Amino acid sequence: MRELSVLIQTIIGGIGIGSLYALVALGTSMIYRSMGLINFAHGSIYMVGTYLGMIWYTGMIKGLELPYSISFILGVLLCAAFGVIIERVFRRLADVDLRNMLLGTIGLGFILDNLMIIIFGAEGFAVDSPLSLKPIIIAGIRVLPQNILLISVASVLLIGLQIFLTKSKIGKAMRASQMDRDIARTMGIHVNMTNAITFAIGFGLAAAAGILAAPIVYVNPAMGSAVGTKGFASAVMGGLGNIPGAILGGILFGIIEAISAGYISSQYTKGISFIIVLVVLMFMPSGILGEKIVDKV
Amino acid sequence: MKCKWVFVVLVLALAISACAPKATPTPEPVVEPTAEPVVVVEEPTKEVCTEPLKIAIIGAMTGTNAILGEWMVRGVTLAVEEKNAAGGIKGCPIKLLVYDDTADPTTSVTIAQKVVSEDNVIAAWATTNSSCALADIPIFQAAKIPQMTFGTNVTITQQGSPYIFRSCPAGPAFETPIVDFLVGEGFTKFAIIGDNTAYGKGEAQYQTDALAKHNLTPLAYEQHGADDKDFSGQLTKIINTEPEVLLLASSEVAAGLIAKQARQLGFEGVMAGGQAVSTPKFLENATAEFAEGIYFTSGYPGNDYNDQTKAFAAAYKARWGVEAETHGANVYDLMQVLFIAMENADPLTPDNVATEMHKVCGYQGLQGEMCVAENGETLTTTMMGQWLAGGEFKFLE
Repeated sequence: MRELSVLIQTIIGGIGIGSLYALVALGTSMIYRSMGLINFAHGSIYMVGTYLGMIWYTGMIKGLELPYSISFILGVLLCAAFGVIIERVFRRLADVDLRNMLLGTIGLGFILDNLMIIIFGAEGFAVDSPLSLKPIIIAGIRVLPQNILLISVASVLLIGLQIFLTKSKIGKAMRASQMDRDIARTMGIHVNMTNAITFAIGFGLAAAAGILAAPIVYVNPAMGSAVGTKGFASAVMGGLGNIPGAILGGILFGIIEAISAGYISSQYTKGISFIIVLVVLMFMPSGILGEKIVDKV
Repeated sequence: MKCKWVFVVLVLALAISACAPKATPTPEPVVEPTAEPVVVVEEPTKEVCTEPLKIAIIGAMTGTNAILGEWMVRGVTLAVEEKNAAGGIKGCPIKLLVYDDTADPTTSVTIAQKVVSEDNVIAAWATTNSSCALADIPIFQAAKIPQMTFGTNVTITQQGSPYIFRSCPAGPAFETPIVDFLVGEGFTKFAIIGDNTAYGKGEAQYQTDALAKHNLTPLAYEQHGADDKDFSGQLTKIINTEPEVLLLASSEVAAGLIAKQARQLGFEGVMAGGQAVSTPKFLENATAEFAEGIYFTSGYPGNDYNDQTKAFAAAYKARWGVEAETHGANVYDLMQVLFIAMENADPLTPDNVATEMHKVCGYQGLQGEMCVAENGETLTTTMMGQWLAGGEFKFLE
């Protein structure tokens, strides 16, 4: 029985961190689906979004300390607006050689990382949790209130996004643009606008992930690298470009990481996690929920 | 047209990356000499200064452990500024060159090679962490340049280099007293968690060795990556073994997060660790609530210990606006030893400075009496303390 509760505790921890990866993976997948662009700067966007939220919460703006919820909304909106600006830059890259596109996104990541060091300094800071630090105990399983908030808000955002994409006019236009831009244009859909909205949503989700995680982790300009890599791996494992796949990939990656640390070897957790991702891709090259490409003769 | 935008983004990336403090020297010196270089006059002990004496600082200035680089720069800069204000070394001012190795050994080696071949330094701090310090030893040894570090891995001074000097006690001096104390208190079930760097593995090894002296072995030893922030998997596994004591072998940020997460996952036993656990950065991440009761060891007895530490703390606070802590204190101490050696070295060459450093014994520093051993160790004792409520701490008798 004890072993079962340990397993459940481990999985709960994995779901918590996996929700973070899911939000980052979702942004990666949405941008890829929209423009065919792999944004290797997404980890840096996650970091920038965190700072854009935390500057209001921690009193960096003339000592103003806003409530966490307000800071969250401000951070997400500011990062979304930043996404609209970046879309204009990436619009040119989407159609050029793949190598130029990759260089462009990698370069953007370097720019953002170093810009944040210049503005905020290299030393990071811990963030006070807006909720109690004491865990909620249910049948011996401990869950942090901040993790519950992370999972809850992530779920609301993801469900809201799915509803937006399937029920709203703009959402349908976005999905049409993602399927075939040229035909969408001929149908009167403003493809560039839908791309901009996609970027805004993707960047906003990355900011949401960072701001929700900030009280749990340590905020510093280097915080985006590992999460960005894991978010990308999650998106690929779930099916790059597939929205539900990104969510599934993120949650799974978090659980795999937690179980690797708890049951296999904590020394090689990262290696084991990525090996499992590779194994999944060997059997499902398009990802778990990715579109299966069939060659027709 | 399309290529133009690609070109603009690439150029911007290169330009801003070139301006950023990542593995490149600062464009301006960190410390401006307060005196102009002087020419030799009557006294034969005056040095011929055609340019300031240069000391390099190589360390983690960015990344998760950027605070270590910050502490090193603060302590060294304070010492250098005071020395320059007092006339420098034999009338020559000292200039600092700061480099960021991001705590990556490969980057650190590249920078060290540049420092020894191009910068004409009299000595160097290299680096803030044990992995990089170990990687740089052959370079400074070959160049016969004194290399100083506060990395605590014991193997740093076991490489046979006469040019390596440690500014604080080695790892066993931090971990053995903690284990001895806790075993003496009746605890027998220990678990260890640490990072997978040379520092973390070293500290964990010293903890294990200390336990072995009491015929004890850890119930669990779990590792984590240096940049990890979630330790729930490792901690859940450890807690399942029901240890009485959790020994921390991680650096400041990770150790603080581990302490907090361990309590949140229900660990109610004792926690303890070495120097990293004694720092303000540990407290910041653990929070005062979860740091309470945790034991630590430190080479620095605290800012209020005696007149010397109070004066240092006051000068540090005036210069940097923050309270002094152990890393800044220990680099400040070794800088005083370096200054003694530089004054005595004749002629003033890096090799002679290293030789003179080995002759320094009995210098009363902030951390106590310093005596430079043949292998570069300078201190052997630490003090044990404990975090109290509200973020206060006390040293135990």
